[in-house]
Amino acid sequence: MNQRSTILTLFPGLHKNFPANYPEKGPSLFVQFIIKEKAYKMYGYFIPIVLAAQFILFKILYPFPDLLPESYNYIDTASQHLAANVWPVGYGKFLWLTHCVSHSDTFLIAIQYFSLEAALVYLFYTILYLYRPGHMARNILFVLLFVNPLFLYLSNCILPDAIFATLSIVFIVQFCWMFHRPAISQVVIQGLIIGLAFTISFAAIFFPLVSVSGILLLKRKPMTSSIGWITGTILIIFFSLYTIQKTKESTGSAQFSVLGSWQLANNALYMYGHAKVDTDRLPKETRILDRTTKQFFEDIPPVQRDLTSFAGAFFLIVPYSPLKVFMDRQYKEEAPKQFEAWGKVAPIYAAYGKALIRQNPGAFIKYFLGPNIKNYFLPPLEKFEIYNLNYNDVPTIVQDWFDYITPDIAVISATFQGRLFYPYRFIFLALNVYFWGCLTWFLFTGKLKQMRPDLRRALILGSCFLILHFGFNVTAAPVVLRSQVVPMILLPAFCLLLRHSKTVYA
Amino acid sequence: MRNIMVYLFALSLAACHFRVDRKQLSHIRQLPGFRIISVDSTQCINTENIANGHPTIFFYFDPDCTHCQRLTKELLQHITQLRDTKLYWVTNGDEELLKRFYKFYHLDTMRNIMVGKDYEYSFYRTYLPPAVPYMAIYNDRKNLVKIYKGEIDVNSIVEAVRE
Repeated sequence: MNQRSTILTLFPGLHKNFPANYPEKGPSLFVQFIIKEKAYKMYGYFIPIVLAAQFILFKILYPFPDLLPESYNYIDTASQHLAANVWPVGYGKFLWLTHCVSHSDTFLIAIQYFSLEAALVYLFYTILYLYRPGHMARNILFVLLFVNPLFLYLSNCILPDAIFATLSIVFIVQFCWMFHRPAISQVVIQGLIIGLAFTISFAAIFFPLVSVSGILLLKRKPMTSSIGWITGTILIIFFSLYTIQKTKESTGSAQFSVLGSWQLANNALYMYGHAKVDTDRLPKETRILDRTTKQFFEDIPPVQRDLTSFAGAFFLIVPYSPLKVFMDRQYKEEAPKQFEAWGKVAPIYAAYGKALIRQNPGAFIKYFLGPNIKNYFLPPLEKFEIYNLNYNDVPTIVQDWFDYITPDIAVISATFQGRLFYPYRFIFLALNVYFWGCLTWFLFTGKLKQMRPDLRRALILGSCFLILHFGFNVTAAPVVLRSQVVPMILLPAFCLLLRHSKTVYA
Repeated sequence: MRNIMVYLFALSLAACHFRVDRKQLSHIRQLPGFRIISVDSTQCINTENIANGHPTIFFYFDPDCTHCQRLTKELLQHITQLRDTKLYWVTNGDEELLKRFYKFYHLDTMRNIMVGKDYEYSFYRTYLPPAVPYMAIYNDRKNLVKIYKGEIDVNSIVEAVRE
């Protein structure tokens, strides 16, 4: 069965829109378009040169990777072959896989960078092929995707964000293709991406919802289209059960996310200083923790508890936070058993966080959600502010993992990146205002209905992704610039399409 | 064009900047010569005379430092895994404390361990350790394998020796 008949068998409704010149054999129209189309051929020459030149230059200036304490946890997962840890183990497994090929840090960073850029190339050509943006929009998009230092700095971190962004971009692009010309391979890839992304970051928890919105928009063969959603959900359930089992083996209690419980308590503590807490209504097991919290707010001077620092993760980071103090008192464990200690207190923290929020929902909205919403639109730079937390060496675990002879590392400037990315916060805000403003205008003037169906669906799906991303980040995670990378790619792409595409309307 | 030249010049300066560390490292990539004297002052070791064939560890410490004491204890617990390695405990610390340290950990009974004083400060001048504990590990061909700073997991040392 050839390509054309396979597609038509699966999605018979396509007969009307199917291009007559769709090749029976050989490269698809998309590949032919990339290789042969005159107006776009130049990009094929420029992109590899631009990317390689940037990467080489960047590695001269930043010869070592950038790390956070979270990075040590991922390396720990990889080096100890852990099945569960504080953060999801998927990225740790990825580190281990690359380590099997080469111990070089540059090799790892190159894999991260070029994977991300490969996904962006896929996005770029998809936009060019499907929506034919104008000359100006094409070039702006080229600069945004391929001459953007954000991706270099992001890929230089030993953090899962670059790989997660890669998967997220491919996930979205798959939908653009499905709206244009569905194929069984797209839905299968989607399902695998959902599962894979979830092992790397729990932020992928909302991907199945995006997938459902995609299926609803597709309006064709719901059973066939649902394969991706079903596969993804099954993989998520399977990985969750596996994590719960492995966490139980390590910590003694069956939990899905140790970090999630800590995060919940951390979020709730943001309003503690402003809320009335009825200790008698707290669960029994959390009362000692509550005493520790009270002590913290009484003893620690305000200057040392500036909750606006550490971007929504203050109580997870500072060593004198009640969560850390309580853990140390209850389970004074050494570093290699850090996960066990974190895991043992996690059920208490989850119960404490829930009880505090139930008692004071208004204060929670005002003192946690409010500032987090502000952080969403004006994201703190966090990792991008300073290189390697301004340390000029790395811990032994990193030194050993990358086979460094000495723990010393060097960089051209630890603080330059803070200055470079400072405007990105405002650009992100402006992009949000512009995109949502445009979309509202399109909606109320009826132009959204007149739009090409595949572009309209892609736009609605992208909006669903952005809304769910907002919902997850504001309620469940610290919001920082590195978690906004995917919206930072989607927003300008959609803005340009709305403004400059030649084929916006049907 | 002129801007490009300035940019390239700045870039080459930056590249030179990173070479500095490597230059320092080049002095110690092959085991350098320095002398240490044993606790009882009966033996003077010149590292240039250390023969190839066994990995060598130089552990720069202070007898008064609790991290060094803990690391010493852990190293001694793993000494069977390091039986083919020559270990040199080197210090510029107080002599009286050194003697007590030496006796307390029974280091005199270990065949492959030598405790000595960096009496000429030659170790210190060569490696410039920023703090104690500090460790330089060389393989059996006297090539530098690892420099460790601070308290570390003994398993890392055992792994480095095996390299």
